Amino acid sequence: MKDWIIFALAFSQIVVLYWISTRSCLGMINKIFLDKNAVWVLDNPDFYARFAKPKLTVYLLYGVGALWLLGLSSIMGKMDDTSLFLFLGVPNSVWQMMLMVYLGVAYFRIAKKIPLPTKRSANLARRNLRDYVHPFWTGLCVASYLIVIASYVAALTGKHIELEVFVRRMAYLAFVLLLTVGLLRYSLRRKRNFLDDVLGASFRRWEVLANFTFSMMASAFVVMWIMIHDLTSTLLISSISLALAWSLVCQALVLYLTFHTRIKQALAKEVPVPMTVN
Amino acid sequence: MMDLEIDEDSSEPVYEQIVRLIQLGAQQGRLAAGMALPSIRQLASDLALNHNTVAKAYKILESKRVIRTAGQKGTFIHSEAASYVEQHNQIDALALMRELVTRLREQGMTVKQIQAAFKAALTS
Repeated sequence: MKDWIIFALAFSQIVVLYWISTRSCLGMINKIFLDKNAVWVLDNPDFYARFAKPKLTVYLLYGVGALWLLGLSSIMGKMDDTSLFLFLGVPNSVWQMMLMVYLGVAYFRIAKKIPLPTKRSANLARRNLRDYVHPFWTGLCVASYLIVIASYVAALTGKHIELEVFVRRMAYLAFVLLLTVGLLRYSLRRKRNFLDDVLGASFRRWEVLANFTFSMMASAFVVMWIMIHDLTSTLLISSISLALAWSLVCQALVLYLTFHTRIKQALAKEVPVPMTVN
Repeated sequence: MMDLEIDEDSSEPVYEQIVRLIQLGAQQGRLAAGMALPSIRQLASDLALNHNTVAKAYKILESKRVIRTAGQKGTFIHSEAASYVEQHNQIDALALMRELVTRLREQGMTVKQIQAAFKAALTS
């Protein structure tokens, strides 16, 4: 029964990420770049028509989604924890990586080709992490990472873990820290985009808080969870439960953005509407 | 929160536009005393300007006591920014009027004529 629930979630995750939300996610990325200079884009309708609604990448993602579904159907009947974990975690990570690659390509194909508007504006609200998150929580995060590092060093010197495990865990920790800090910095420093206009000024606050909670705090939790497993060989929560929680969060967030009425309306517009603020 | 709009096509330099708009915000109360301002890096990035342009504007504002920098804590609107802006405006207005009056006197206008012209200009 439990296996079938996980199977159903892995299935819905592929359908949601690769099929249902593809068009809107790619459309949002393009829209963010097209909004760089709405006046110029209005004067260049061909450029707008070419990039407003992505086509090729949409079909590519549909295809990859279909392949994942084929793979998932091939394990139906012989499901085990490893294969279910793989089909929960890997399609999600691949989808995120594909979006990152698309973001990079779209930046050079769209944003780089649009000139800066001569009239530009910015909001005078300061955007430091402490303006969104109480320093106590940041301190708690930093402390938990330091505890993890100190524990691993102590475990290595006390010969409770192998050097190979230590190096692997520290490399993972460095990767997680780079990724989470990068995400957080991006959400604080990024320029205002159409999502801020559509969802209101509180969008960035929610974005920063979500990034802080899911990146910094959740990562600290996962790292501690791995450490407890390494040092005591006990699993507080199974890895599949963590993957399930992550999958549910991703699916809910993507569905919310895809079916948000104002976002849908903004993406459906045939002509760009100049933003109030750059 | 106040938005700051700059126009690169304007004859007024961008750093002066920033100074003018922040002064205006402080004077009108849209930028309250003690309010935190964005860092030079943030504002420069948001407006797609060179850091030095924003730094120059902030330096001028600091010298005029419209803003104050508190090291790592950041930059804030000065507690008496509104009165300092008013004082600066009065000094600027006096200098401009003196210059204008001198020019008008050089053109042969009398004090009464200048006063009448000012009155007409104020009411038009």
